[in-house]
Amino acid sequence: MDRTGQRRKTKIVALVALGLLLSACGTATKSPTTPAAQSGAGQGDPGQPVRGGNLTVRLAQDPGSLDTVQNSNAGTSYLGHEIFESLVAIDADYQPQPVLAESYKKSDDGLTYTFTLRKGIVFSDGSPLKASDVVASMRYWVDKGSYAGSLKPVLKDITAPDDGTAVFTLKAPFNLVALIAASHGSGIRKASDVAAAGATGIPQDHVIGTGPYKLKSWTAGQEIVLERNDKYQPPSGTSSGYAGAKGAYLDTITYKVVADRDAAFNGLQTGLFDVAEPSYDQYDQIKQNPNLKVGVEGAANIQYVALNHNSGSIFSKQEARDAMNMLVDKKAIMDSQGVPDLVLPSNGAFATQTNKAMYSEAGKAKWDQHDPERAKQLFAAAGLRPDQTIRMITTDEFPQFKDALVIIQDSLKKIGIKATIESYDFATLMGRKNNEPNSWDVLALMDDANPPVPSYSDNVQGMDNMGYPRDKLAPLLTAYNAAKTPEEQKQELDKIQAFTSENLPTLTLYNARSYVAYNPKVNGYDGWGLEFANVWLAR
Amino acid sequence: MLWVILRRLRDLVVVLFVVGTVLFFLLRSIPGDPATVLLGTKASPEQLERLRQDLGLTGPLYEQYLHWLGNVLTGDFGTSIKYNLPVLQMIFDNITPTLTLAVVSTVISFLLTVLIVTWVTVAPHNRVARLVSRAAQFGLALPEFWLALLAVYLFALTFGWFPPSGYTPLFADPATAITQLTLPVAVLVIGQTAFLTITMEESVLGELTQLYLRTARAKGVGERRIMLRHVLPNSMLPVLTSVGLNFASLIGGVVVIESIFVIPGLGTTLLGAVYARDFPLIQGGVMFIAFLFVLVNLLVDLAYALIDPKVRVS
Repeated sequence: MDRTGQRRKTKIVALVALGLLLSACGTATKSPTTPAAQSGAGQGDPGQPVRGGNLTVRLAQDPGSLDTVQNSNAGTSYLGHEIFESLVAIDADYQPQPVLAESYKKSDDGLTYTFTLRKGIVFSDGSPLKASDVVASMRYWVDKGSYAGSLKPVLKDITAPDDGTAVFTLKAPFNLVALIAASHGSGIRKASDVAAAGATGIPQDHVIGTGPYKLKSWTAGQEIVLERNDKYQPPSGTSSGYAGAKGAYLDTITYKVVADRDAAFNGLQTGLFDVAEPSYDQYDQIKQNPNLKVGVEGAANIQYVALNHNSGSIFSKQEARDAMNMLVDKKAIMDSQGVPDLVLPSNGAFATQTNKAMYSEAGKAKWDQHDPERAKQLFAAAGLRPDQTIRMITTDEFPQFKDALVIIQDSLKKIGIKATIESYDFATLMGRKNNEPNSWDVLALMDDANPPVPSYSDNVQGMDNMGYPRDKLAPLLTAYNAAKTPEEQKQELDKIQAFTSENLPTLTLYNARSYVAYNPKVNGYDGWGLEFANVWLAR
Repeated sequence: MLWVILRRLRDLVVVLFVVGTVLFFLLRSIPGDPATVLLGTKASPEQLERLRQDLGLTGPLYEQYLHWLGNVLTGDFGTSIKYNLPVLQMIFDNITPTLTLAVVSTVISFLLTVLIVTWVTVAPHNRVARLVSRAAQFGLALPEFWLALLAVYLFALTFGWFPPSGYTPLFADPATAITQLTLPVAVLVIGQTAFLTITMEESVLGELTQLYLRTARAKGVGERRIMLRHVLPNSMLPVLTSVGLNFASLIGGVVVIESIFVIPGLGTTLLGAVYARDFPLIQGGVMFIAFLFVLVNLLVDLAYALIDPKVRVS
């Protein structure tokens, strides 16, 4: 190499080094040390609410439709709560409160619920709300959605004796009000919109509700804009959860579709977005950013592993499920997330501690057990062969699932059991779970931790055919639904929780709370998901 | 010439038929379907089956295929399962950002390439020109996603010169659009210019060995004129092919750039469609990209004929 060539190369190397140095310096200066962010929802909202302005919110996916019955996308739920109202909705304590209903009455035998509608309510297009709209919406909710699956077998009919009354008649007692209140699909639509539903649900040009905001525009894959519904007539009572009077202070709410987590974070930092739900690994950075506030949401998801009960899996044996419970170090998995503010022990319950009506510690003692040696013995007793491998599957779309499986894999390895982890996109994972039920043993997922009625999630197709004691569960659910008082309900709930913990259809790991990062000009945010019906912007 | 165009149009039909058919059966053979994505983890088997029926995903596969093929032949590419909108509308709505990125970055890359190679060819001993030329190899080695992240970090987050993401249609608000497009286009231009520069330089080297240059020199034509009038124009043909292929691959291949800079283009839309198992949208989108690919190649061939008289004659 001649000297000229050498010099040229030296220059190039120097330029590259300069660039990297510049980048490194940038990293160092971007680490603020002043913890000025506020944790906890609803803190530090100064002054009186003012009307006006646009709130820009990052949405991870375009939900595709606002059919809150058929579409399980989180974005559908977020927007649906701004646009639609239900007969009843849960407050911040998960207690049902009337919204479109002025009142409701349960018959003495528990088989009839009569809802009286508030008078003078109109949809955002000006047409009056009638009981026939309620009947159409509720029938659609029961018929097409999965949330009301437990209601469907006991529902006899839904009728409208007059324009202001809707009546549900049941074949057996059921906690109907709680189910309607907690379901994001129970929002009331115009009967004509329900009738317009096609194969994939109610189309985008039939999105009309009675809520504080209405749909203004929708550019598929890019943004959805809501505007204030000037015809909104709030229910009585202060705002709490999804219930109470909402302020509807904003002129518009613009939901920007941004899939990339880093792009969302960058957008928050540079003011492109006012609000976003960032990922756990961005939590510490955001808390240290003096230009952002943090609101930890009250609700949580349960992170769990489903244990395959089908005959092709070792977990069809009770001993193996008990072994897994003994083996899994739930605290280690919880700690692996690195965000102590956002995770809570699940205590084996199928609801979070905040959902007082559904939370039970009847399974906590078993959930707390951690004894790898005993687990090894139980796996042997279940008939796990030395050459047998435990097949674990999950999705890449939520990194925490794989984190948990890696720790479980390590625990299994320590007691001499081989385990594999396969990770797919969500659709492939569901296809594998449903269509190849004997091709896996452990499935990591998460679930809404706030069921309105006792949840007994098996997550495995065809489980009833395997002699699983569903017949023993049915009487417990019947007794729960027939309970007359909250105390009786609590007793029955404990029995269901104990039954669940005994049989371990799933193994809960921990409860994960989401958080919202937002611009300090955003006021009135109450830690209730991505709901902004009460949010206002400081001038 | 007319015969060439007709032959290419025939090829286009064959390509679209093969792509559409293969994709149809491929999509239905992979695990997961739109019903499971739409209804989520809690849907019962009965609900899933009913939705599949409503979506026309049950029944013999050959019947579904013939039904789809019949619709395509009448210009009906179906309705997006996720968005409940016509597939063609979804494609045309989302192709504009992608085309903007592809056209702007290709034009700039092409012009830069011609400038750089001309400079190096005319002034082969100029140190700066040589450095720029060498930098092409370096530029080719840099992964686009890394460049994109670095660009966002430096020019959006650190210096605040450009927004980190976003898209505005070019003709709706040109000033905003240009600031939003600068970083993604710059990232694409670096890679493309590097590739085209190397391609054109090799072509120039090949051209320099041609005998006609000796004749030109013997006639007393100056070196600069030889380079500008003979070597460079004759070196353009391989570059044109590369530009065409590169442009066509950008249409479906800029998904990483679209994702990092939050540009709602066709690539991002198709990626979302794959996750949602939105069969009609995937099929329509991929066939559209295949259509563009063949079309761009046809245009390149026609450009050959315009540039090179030998091609016209042959």
